[in-house]
Amino acid sequence: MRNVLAIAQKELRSYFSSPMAYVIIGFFLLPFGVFFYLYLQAFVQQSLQMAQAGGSININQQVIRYVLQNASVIILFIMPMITMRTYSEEKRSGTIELLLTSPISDVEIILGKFFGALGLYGAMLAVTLCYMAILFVYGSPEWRPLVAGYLGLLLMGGTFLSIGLLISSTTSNQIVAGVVTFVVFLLLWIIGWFADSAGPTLGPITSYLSITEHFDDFSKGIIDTKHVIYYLSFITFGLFLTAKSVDTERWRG
Amino acid sequence: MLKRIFGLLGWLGVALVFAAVAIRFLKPEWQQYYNALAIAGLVCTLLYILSQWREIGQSFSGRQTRYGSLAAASVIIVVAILAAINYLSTRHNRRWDLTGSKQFSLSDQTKKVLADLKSPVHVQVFARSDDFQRYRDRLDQYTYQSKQLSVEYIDPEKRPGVAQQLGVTTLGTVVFEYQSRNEKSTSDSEQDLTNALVKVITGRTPKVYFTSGHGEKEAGNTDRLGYSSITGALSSNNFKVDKLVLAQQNGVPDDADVVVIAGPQTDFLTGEIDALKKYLAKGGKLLVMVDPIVKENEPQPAQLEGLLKDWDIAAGHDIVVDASGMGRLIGADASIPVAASYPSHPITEKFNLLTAYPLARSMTPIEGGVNGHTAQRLVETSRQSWGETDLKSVLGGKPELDPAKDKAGPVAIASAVSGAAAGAAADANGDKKAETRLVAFGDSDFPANGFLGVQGNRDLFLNTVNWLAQQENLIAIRPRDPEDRRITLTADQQRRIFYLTVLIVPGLVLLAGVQTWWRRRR
Repeated sequence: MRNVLAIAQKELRSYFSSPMAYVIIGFFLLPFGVFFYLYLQAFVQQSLQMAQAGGSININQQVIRYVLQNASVIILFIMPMITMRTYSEEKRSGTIELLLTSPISDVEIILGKFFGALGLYGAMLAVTLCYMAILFVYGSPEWRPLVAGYLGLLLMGGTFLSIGLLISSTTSNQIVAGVVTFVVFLLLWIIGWFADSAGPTLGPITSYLSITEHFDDFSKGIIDTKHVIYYLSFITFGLFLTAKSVDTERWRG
Repeated sequence: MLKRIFGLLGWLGVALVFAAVAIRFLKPEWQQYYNALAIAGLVCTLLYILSQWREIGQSFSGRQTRYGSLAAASVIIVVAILAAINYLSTRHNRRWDLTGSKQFSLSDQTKKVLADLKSPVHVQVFARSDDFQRYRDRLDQYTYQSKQLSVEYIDPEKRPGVAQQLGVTTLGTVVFEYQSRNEKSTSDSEQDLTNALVKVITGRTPKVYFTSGHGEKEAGNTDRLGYSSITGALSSNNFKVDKLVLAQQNGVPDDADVVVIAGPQTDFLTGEIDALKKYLAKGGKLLVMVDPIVKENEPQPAQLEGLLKDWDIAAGHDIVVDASGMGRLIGADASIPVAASYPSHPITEKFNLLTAYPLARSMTPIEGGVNGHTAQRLVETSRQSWGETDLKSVLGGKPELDPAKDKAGPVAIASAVSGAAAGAAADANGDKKAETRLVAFGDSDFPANGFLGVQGNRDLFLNTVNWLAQQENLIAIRPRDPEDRRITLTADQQRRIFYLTVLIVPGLVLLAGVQTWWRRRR
């Protein structure tokens, strides 16, 4: 466990000592800010109209829910940038040999890299909390659905990270790793579209596989064990395959 | 060479997936194209990955092959374990609704209904794909509460067959199927859905009696003027149909939900009319269809007319003639008036199909009301129609509008009236007062076998019986609105938020990036 933390820390430090982390977070915040502002503006407009008409409108369901759902799509585009260098870089520069022969086990290295990337992702989400703080300054959103939403984002991001880590471990070319990761994410996202036309047996399975589909309930403010287990098992599977992939490196020579 | 082809395939897959995503957002209606593109992209990418694996496989030899198959076996085992865990977790999940108003939770009444569910209920939602989410938000809670419930989402534009089979005509219909019975709801509110569920489970079958003994149309008759098709439609809408001979029975049976008088050839006796009056006073529901008198010197059914008059409806001694030529659309002449638009009434709500009435008389509400009842026009013919009182001219084929005697169009062919039941001692608990409902048509042929081919005839008849049977809600559930949490901002505050979210925060982060880059360069 200590080794895991040490590697995670090393990874995090290397992210933030290069411009990479700032570029990634900055490029995430730009569209996030635009979505946030547009939804908030529409909501304020509606608040004014409803002031005369009466009826109830809720900032959690009409702003935060949609902003988080859009964030889940932006993440899809940003994640490959975080994971593409994790293993490819080591392979290209040859430091992978050092890692493979070091006394630290593969699993510890993988977990370290995973938690390092998750730390960067967490920092990214932490910055978006500033945006949510604006809502608390001017209004009074419910905080509990918001917690559910961020828990969902964290789990979904972890799933993306584990897949990215796996793909990065298969190639020594960062660009190839990035592009392949991105396409795989896209496929896992769009697979949900087929659900409605795929028929009664295949439909539920395809929609179950779609990563973003499971985030819907979180964004509404619902925590459901089945979604949590889905994400956790996906993460486990991604990390397990990464371990296998790194292992082949050893006996393939 | 082969390697380069596979390399190209990989890039092609990437391009195809991008194209699919682009089309999905720019032209969402081209669904078949982006589906095909996405599948092609998937195939290309898979081929590329497989080719990489082949390379790996080639480098296997001896000891490595053994390692390889070991690794493959362990992967399969892990996949199987995870699949099993996920399968179980979807069956035994727990849900916590963290919203303040418990907006995504069901009321206790619904929960109780679902908990008592012993055998499977299949739910089919017919809506446009874009609207599925709205129904999912609601129905996911139902499936969470009861494993007996399964939901299927169907877009009738893509799968029209299923919708037709179940007789679904409007988008946004939810069909509950339970033990080969089914019940429809056209709203997504918890109240309507739960009521449809309760109805389909309890299987309440309202009873419709057709009077007999005056030469009426017969329910089981398969002739052109028989009612066999429409009674079949009634049974498939959960109605029970039976015959009623008033002269032999001591009044209308207690289990009657609706009594139908379908085109009697002779008038009713005074005793029979009294029985009907008593039935109506108790909150009875009556559908009267009286054809015009065509033969000369045949008396008008005075008793029946008197009954209708008590309820503010005047049966005209005429034949409605329609010169608009609209009937020619369905191959009918002037003696078959047609209607295409309807005055507002619950029966004809959202109804806009063409209906046709072979040889009809007018059924008009009497101005000012009678006995405190006010009838409403239900079906009107076109402006170019009139109620012809010179019956011979209609049969001769040359009817002319005589402003002095004839009723100018648009003519009401059907009218409906409802009112609190006068003689009903308020129901056992006195909470809901019984209501009398009466509908009168000036024609009994429109729901007959030979005329059900006309688009709307069947639906209008079913709508009418449904309204009469008062298929109303059994459970009242207050809709759960989200808590009211709004924000008001001045224009100035909005501008400041804009700068902060879109420019300042991302800008600061990027600046920090530039700074680290600068520091490292030195």
